[in-house]
Amino acid sequence: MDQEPFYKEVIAFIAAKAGLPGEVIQPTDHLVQRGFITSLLLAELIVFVENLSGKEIDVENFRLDSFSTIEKIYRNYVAPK
Amino acid sequence: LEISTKSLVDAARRLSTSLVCDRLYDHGSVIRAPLINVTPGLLLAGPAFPITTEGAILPILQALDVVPPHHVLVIQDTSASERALLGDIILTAARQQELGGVVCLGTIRDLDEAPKIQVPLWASGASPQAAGLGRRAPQVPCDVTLGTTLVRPGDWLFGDRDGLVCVDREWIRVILKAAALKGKKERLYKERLCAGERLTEMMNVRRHLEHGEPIVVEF
Repeated sequence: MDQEPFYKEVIAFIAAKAGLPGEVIQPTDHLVQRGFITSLLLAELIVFVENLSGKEIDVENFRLDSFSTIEKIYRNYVAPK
Repeated sequence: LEISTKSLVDAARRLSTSLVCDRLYDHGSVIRAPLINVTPGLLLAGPAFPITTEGAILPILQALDVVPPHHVLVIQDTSASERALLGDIILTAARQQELGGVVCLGTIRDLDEAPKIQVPLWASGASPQAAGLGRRAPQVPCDVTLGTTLVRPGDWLFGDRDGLVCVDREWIRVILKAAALKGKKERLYKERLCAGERLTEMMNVRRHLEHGEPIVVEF
């Protein structure tokens, strides 16, 4: 999946779940520090990204830092290696 | 993304009911029903295949005939019968068919054999007297009620020494991820404790008590 459509989909997902306008979420925002995601929404976001990318995310090797911004999520879990 | 039931069960088997319960949010509940864990050393985990029976064995055989591997056979006896609905033969069949467990809100038998068969088993009571074959169930699987919890086909059950938990089928992937993340955090906390850190310092207990600062819970 390309970067721009991925950003758009993930921002729309977080905004809908968190009850925020999409414009306030930027791909470089720290999702936890800015208060966009809770522990439940983090798990939901992992599953959402799995569904978008078609690749499973192993929680045992998961590091929150690699999932802290939408940009990092794309780079670490979606972009072709 | 299609994830197989087997793959989800493998992930679930690395968890405990307490971890799942801590991350249930509003998407499941602890089952409060007269059920005893007959195999306390075994973790029950898998999607439910629920059926009802009026004190008869045939609906259970009907279910066994079609229940997919890794599912948990959930039986609600709607009769007042105290005769056993299943015993070592059906449990051995459940083992052979790789079921994730059996939950019987009703009477069973062969309790001494059950732990040896290694199928996680919960039941309400025991009797040496077997139920009759009876009549077929009109629908298999179907919704059942365990205590106050509605269990639908495909909802997930988790059971261990701490109790029995039901997770809404729509949320199972999310709850498995959330519980696994929590399990990982708890392991890190325990490692820090074993390395000599004090729990009350990690949780900021004294500053909370003396200055009203927030308690820190990172697990």
